[in-house]
Amino acid sequence: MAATLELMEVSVTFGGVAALSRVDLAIEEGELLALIGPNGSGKTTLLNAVSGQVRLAAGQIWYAGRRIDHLPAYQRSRLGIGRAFQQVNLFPGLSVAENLRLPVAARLGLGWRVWREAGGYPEVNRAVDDLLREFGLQDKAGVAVGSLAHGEKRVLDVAVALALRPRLLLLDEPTAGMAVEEVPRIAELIRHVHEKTGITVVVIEHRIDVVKALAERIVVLYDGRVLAAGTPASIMADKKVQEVYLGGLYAQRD
Amino acid sequence: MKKRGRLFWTAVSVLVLAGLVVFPTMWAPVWLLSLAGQIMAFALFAMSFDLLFGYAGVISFGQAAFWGIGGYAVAIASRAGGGAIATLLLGAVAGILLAAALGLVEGFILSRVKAGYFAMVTLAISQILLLLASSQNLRPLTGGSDGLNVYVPRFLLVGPATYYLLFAVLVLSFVVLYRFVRSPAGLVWRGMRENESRIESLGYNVLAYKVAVNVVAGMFAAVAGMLYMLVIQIATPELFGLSNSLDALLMVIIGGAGTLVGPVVGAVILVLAEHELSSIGSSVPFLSHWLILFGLMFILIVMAAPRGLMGTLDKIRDSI
Amino acid sequence: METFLTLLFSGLSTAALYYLLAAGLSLSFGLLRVLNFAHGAVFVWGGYTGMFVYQLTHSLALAVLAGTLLGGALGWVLERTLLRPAYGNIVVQVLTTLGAFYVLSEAIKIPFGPDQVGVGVPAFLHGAWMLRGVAVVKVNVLLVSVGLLVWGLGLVWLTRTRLGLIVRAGIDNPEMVMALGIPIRRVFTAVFAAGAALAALGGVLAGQYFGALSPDMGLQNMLNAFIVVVVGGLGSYNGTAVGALLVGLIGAFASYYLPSQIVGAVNVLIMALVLIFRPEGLFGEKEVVV
Ligand SMILES: Nc1ncnc2c1ncn2[C@@H]1O[C@H](COP(=O)(O)OP(=O)(O)OP(=O)(O)O)[C@@H](O)[C@H]1O
Ligand SMILES: [Mg+2]
Repeated sequence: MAATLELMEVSVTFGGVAALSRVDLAIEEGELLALIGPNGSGKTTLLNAVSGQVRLAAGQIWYAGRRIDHLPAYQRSRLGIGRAFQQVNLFPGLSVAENLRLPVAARLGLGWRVWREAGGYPEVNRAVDDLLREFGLQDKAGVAVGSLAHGEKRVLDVAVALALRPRLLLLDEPTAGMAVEEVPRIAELIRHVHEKTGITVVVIEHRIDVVKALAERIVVLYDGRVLAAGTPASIMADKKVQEVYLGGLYAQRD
Repeated sequence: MKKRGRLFWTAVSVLVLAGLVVFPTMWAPVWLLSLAGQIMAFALFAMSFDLLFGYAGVISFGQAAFWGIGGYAVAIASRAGGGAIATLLLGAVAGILLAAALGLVEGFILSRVKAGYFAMVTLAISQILLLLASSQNLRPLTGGSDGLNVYVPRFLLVGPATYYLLFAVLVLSFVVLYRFVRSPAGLVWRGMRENESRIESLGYNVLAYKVAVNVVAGMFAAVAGMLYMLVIQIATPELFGLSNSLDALLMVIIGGAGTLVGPVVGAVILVLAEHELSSIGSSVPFLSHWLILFGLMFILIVMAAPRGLMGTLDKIRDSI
Repeated sequence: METFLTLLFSGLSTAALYYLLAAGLSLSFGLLRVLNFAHGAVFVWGGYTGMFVYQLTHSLALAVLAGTLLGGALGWVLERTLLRPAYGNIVVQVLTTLGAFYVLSEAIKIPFGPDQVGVGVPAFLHGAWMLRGVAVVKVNVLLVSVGLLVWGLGLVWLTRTRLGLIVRAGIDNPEMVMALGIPIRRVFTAVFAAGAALAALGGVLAGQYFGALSPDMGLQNMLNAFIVVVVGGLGSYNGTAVGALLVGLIGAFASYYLPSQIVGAVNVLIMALVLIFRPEGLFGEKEVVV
């Protein structure tokens, strides 16, 4: 099967410091891939490079047969790359429903309509209602996002990314900062979405149990390079990975 | 509860509007009509700024550039045509197009710079226009620092005719702007204010939305400047001055940013205050420095009640 | 040739004036991420204080000292009252410093009136030296020397002192400095006050340079200083100096060869070009977007 996302010798630097060095990575259509690695190893930067938040210093990124590394973020989004961020990244002054209306309107190409009220498009409302129900946020539709609980914000964040109906979903630590009892809900949600829609998912995750339960393949980043890649079993058995993690470099956070 | 609130506000608006339509037929001294005219022109000006600042989250200190362009377009056209309506309309159209063009240029700069920068850039641009308008070389066109008298068509000088024209334009503009801000595009603008990078990652072209909002706000500000000319009948370089840009900002902040009604309330308060305080100031010297009081009040509002009058009212109502 | 040199000197002295104003703006933006719109008003307050003290004492040194100290004090108060409660909120800071600009610009009119006033200039600064047909205006020499001195001292301060190192580290990475347990808030206050003091010093010198002051000269000078900062790159120390030179010199030559109305536009044109082709400024680092 052909790779849907391919990174070729991708390098990213911040003020001379390399955050990614010549990363090669191919991800297949429909795969659920977990990206792990110690703090500062470049995981977030890798997602940023794919979704267009940072520029490459060198290398190429191809998606669905097109070279995308020179495209602005909004065009990559329109090609079907959806993104949720490590920190909650929503529209705090808008209501939950409005937060969902934005991606839905973007998907339906309604963003330049200037006359009818935003809440007056039946196809948008239907999609928003479905999302609210699917993510258990029905009661919160009119609430300003700023006043949601943290777990709800995280759920909404994923919902906003999914509302675009991406073909490739990039999730950056979706369980970060969550209470332990909420974690299975998110993990279940990710698996459910992946199985139902068959989209490609790349998820950064620190909780190894979640990674093992979810991922079909794991890529380990270390110091801006790919240290290892393979099935969960082979990664757990990998010498270099054990060294990096058991060598005390791995600090469980949160 | 919510329904009753809406009913209440609808009733209030209808009453206020009816009052504004009816009163000039009963009592219309010239000074009052002129004051009302200034308020309405500034109200539209402040509304245009609210679109930019309150909804899209863009700080500009140069909104007066558009206000002045509108003013001079009408003034120059009225002199060219000696007050003929056709030339005046032509001037108005030219002014709006010019404003749109400037909005376009500024919009591209806006998309390249950070928040505070843009305020300075727009301020600089309006200062340049001020210099140009007062320049000796352009005196034949702009009247230099003396400014230009505006020849208002005869029929507008009859009774409250100007008042009704302004009222109609203001109400119409309000309706149009109201629809804009509640539309999907308005939602994108508000989203941009809240979180620009996420808007971009949802597939919206932030550059285009910034340019668009600056153009639209600029066009409405130009129309406001034209209305102002019909009332005060002289265009001076000071139209481009920082104090006008800041007046718009002040009105929006006092009335409540992102409410569209707030700026109107702010315009009423500020124009009345300037009018009253500066006339009292001639007898009580300290009050001629009323700008100090305004500045302090402004700081206090920004720090203590950032949602302004209307926003704070909303909040109080929500909490009851 | 003589014309060229005369223009060069005059350009250098405007550059020095711009530099004094721009240095504070740039530093406080680099470290505090604050655009201080009250800066121009502090400049004016410094100028009037200097004028007043000179009238009383006939000592330029005392005038400079008083103006600079007053500027520093104003900066300290502004930082404490307006900025500190709102770090991280650019909109609020821009608006409150703007309000302060209003208040200060208007308040200076109470003692000194709204119109332009003449400034006393000591005799040793009157006139010019003629060097082979080139007029070297004495006041300009003062301006350029002070500009160079401030730039040099600043450089030593930033590279050789502990506080300077903290400031530079803070510009690069404020979170890191805070994480190291350094009381960055106090550093903020100090830097902001120092920037305001420089602006006020610029005001005193501007009074000497123009021989007159008016309450509304703050705005125009602040705009020029801002243009300098944008051209040089916000937060870049040497960039600000180069920006000041560029804007000062281009302005001097433009005012000789072009009609005076256009000169005001030249600065903005320079800024527009820089913003279009290099939005981070000539020496600014590209900010990383995330
Ligand atoms: N916007 C930025 N500006 C400067 N340096 C950055 C930026 N983003 C990341 N870096 C640096 O790049 C390196 C990789 O960071 P990145 O955020 O990709 O790591 P990560 O693997 O996501 O870490 P974490 O597990 O902490 O989220 C780090 O050294 C970081 O300091
Ligand atoms: Mg990360």
